Amino acid sequence: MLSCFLLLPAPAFDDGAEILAESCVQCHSEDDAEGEFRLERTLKEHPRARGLFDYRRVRAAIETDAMPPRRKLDAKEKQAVLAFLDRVEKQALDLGGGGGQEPVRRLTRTELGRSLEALCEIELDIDAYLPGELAMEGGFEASSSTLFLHPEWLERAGAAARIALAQGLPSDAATNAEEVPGFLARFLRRAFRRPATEAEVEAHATRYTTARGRGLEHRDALVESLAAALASPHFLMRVEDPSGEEAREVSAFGLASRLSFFLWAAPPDDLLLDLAASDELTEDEVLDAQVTRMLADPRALSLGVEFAGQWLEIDGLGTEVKPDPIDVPFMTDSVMAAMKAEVAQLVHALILEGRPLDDLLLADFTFVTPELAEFYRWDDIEGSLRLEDIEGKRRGLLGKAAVLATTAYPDRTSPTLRGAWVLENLLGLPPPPPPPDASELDDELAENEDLTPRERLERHRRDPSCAACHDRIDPLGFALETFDRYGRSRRRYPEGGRIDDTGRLPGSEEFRGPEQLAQVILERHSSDLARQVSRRMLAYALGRPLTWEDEKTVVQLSGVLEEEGFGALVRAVTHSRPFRFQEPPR
Amino acid sequence: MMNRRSFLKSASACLALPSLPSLGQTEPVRGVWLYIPNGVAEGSWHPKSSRGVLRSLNAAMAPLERHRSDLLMFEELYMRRGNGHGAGTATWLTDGGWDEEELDAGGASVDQIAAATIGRNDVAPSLSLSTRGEGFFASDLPRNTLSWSGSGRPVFRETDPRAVFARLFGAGPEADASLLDDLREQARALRATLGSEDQAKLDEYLDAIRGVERRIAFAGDEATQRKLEQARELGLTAPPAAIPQDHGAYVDLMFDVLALALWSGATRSASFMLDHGQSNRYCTFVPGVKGTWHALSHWRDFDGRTEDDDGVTSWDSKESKREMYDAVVTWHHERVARFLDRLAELPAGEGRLLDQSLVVYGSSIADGHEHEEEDLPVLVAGKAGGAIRTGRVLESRRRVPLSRLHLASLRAMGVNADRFGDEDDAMEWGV
Repeated sequence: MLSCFLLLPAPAFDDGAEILAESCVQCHSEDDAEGEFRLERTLKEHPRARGLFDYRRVRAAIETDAMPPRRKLDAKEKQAVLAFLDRVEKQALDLGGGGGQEPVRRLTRTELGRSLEALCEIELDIDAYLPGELAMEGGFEASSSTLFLHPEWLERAGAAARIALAQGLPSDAATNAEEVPGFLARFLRRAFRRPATEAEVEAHATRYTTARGRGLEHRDALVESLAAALASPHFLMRVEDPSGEEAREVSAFGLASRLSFFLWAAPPDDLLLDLAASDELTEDEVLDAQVTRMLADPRALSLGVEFAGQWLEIDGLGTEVKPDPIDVPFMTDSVMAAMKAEVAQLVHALILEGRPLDDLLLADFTFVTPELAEFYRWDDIEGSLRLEDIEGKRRGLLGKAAVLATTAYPDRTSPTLRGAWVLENLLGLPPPPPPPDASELDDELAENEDLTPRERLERHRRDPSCAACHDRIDPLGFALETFDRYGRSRRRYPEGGRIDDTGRLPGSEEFRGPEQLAQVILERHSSDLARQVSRRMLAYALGRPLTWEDEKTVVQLSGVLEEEGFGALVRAVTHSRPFRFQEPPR
Repeated sequence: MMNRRSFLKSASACLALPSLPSLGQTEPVRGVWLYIPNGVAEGSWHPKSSRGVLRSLNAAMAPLERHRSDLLMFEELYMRRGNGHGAGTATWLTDGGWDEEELDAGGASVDQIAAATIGRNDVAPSLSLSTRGEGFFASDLPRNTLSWSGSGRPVFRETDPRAVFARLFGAGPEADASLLDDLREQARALRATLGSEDQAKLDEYLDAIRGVERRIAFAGDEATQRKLEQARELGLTAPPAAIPQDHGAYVDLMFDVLALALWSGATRSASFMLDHGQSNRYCTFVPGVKGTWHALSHWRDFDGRTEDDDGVTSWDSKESKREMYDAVVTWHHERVARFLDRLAELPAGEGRLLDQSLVVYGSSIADGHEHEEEDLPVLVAGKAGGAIRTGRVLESRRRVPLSRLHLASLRAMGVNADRFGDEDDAMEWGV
């Protein structure tokens, strides 16, 4: 960190930064910041690359004239500010590229469940023992910054471990006292994700012997010893070998864990640990072969379930978004599960088959259950299957019920919500929050009951201060208006009248419906899309929020994605510097 | 349920036995913070009072009328650094600014300061309860976090009454001192190899081990078992294994287990979010109400088509929507009133547990539609061991920072605190 600091130039006089200081910090001050956005602090402490993400928020607000709310910048000022922001971007790419993984955190609920299942060779409903993880909006669960270890968690993790052990011991479990030390060494290696030391094996063997001395049967004594291992910080927490003064390549065992938690959300298996023991895993060809093997393993579906589910914010469907079962009988638990599984399997397939970037929005195949096929009003099918050559409007992410149903209000579509979802989650261009005086128009419009949602939004956009952003947001959602609040096809608005699914972005041709929307996004924003996918995948793989230093890696990754597709992206992540390196102790 | 007289008889029988170690000579003051999301409509909170005497509560607060003489109400309380559903919830008990990047609510929350000082040897230094979320933001961190043990350290929150009961009183795994010692050694050795930021994660593990030890000791204590027996006679028993479908039964169970935890001496500091900070729960369990709580709180938009509403649920008028908003809030007042009934029923020291309690109840938002942060709906119930003169309104023409209430609460609980946040003036509520 020290070396980076020296490389960054001291705050210098900069026209653009000066203008920001004059025009913005009065409201976005250190102490009492509007919208909790502390630009004053950023300008003071991180005048350049280190403030990258804050400056991107500034750019979004300045480019659309959303800010400053009262006195808009004139053309010359705007130019100076944008030039400053460009310099920040350039500096981030010039100086970035370092950074390793954030090493110490506990396992997530999902990872704990998978670990117990792997160790005990059983199936376990871990949700019955531990509450769901809380996360920040737009963050992944598996993040050191939001995973805390409390006494309650420790006890319940222990209870789950005991249930798992009671249900099954591994098939290679010792059958008599003589075999115990050898078995313990194997078990501890899997549990700790590295070879156990002799002292560790001995301590657990002693625990077994002591339990036998108390009169416990062989099996029960073995369970006592294993339960102790499963309460250990070496099992419950992810801690890599701390390194010395400098950043260095992560150890082979560390790499095995990084790979398996990234690709499987589960601990490394024996083969990965063997390859780590022989140090072969750090060789590029061996690593690539392992990635190929792991992607073909059913556990890799976690990339769809965990990674895509959290990235696309559809994982709350069925729990957080749960329509009333009496009013909305067709939104059953099973159909909502099928909706989420559809997206998970699609993203998994894109990776496994090395599909190109465009397929994220255009893939003409999908995965449905009979119930979901019926929901989509497709022909009856028998059993769950992969369908090829599906109808145009259902292709890619934009036509998927899981996405459509989680980007609406209860019982009503919102073009704004769906548009903002595209901008934020797919393109990484979150719209700035509405200016302070924006709600007044809403009140007035709310009184007018004769308007359709589209007409209301169009009325709203007559106000230039609203139009700057809503012109970029709402048309994306208009093209999806042929889907109702749950993602079912529809031709008419509930208020009456045929759906108008045309839209036009500033400077674009008019487009109509989901397919043409996908085309427009790919024509105009292909590189934004590639960067956002890369950004989210890198953050997921590293288990920490990205920093400005990672942006260089993101640019490299997105180049790979655009040229070679999703499979290559995953490989490139496993070769990337932050994935392979470890920072010195903080 | 047993009547009060026979209950007192058995209670005095109990008091003849050696007293609970956690109770000591005098009854500790129990601090409880109850949070209600989405604010209270303007005009549905303020009571009738004259010269500081609470004459009658607002009609929308009718369920609490029976506790009027045990209430203290305020005027012009405010949160200096704003509110909003996320920031306001996260900072209600810290009165600090919310920094989303640093996950910083401006410091430790008032309940956690009490927990870390006077409550540090309690079996549960604090309890942090919440109902299980529903709808948008149900897993969003700031909207679900009142209690912070320090900057960037949210406290584990319990949503299952059975789990709370088991945590405090359950037998749990056998007390295996050697295992806990061994785990502690492993964590210490691992910790020594790490940098200071990562060491904090191992400290969490070490704290967790200590917590487990305390719980095992408490659950095994004979005095605890006796208290539990008494509680059973009062109808306070182990909650059922599953969370009840009926929301009212669920909230009441959470309150029961909370009352039990306070009374048994398991904890003296607890927070309970009646719902998360932007609750989108369908409140159809309240008679005559349709729509989600957050939608209802934006009561001036009644056509069902504004951003905060749900399309098909429409209301005839602002007035009818507001009535439903009030009804939801009043329904929650009833749950709180029932909890206060419990605290008034349970004996503590010479009087009632309520006399030894300081129950802060309110929201970080005033009118839900306006999202106001001024003149917040917040009240205190209980006499805090005599520190508070109740049955009154603390009138004020000037804005009063919430920090003053937090500071006064800490002092009433026996924490030797000079200041809270930016404030070194405490609320004067004993004169």
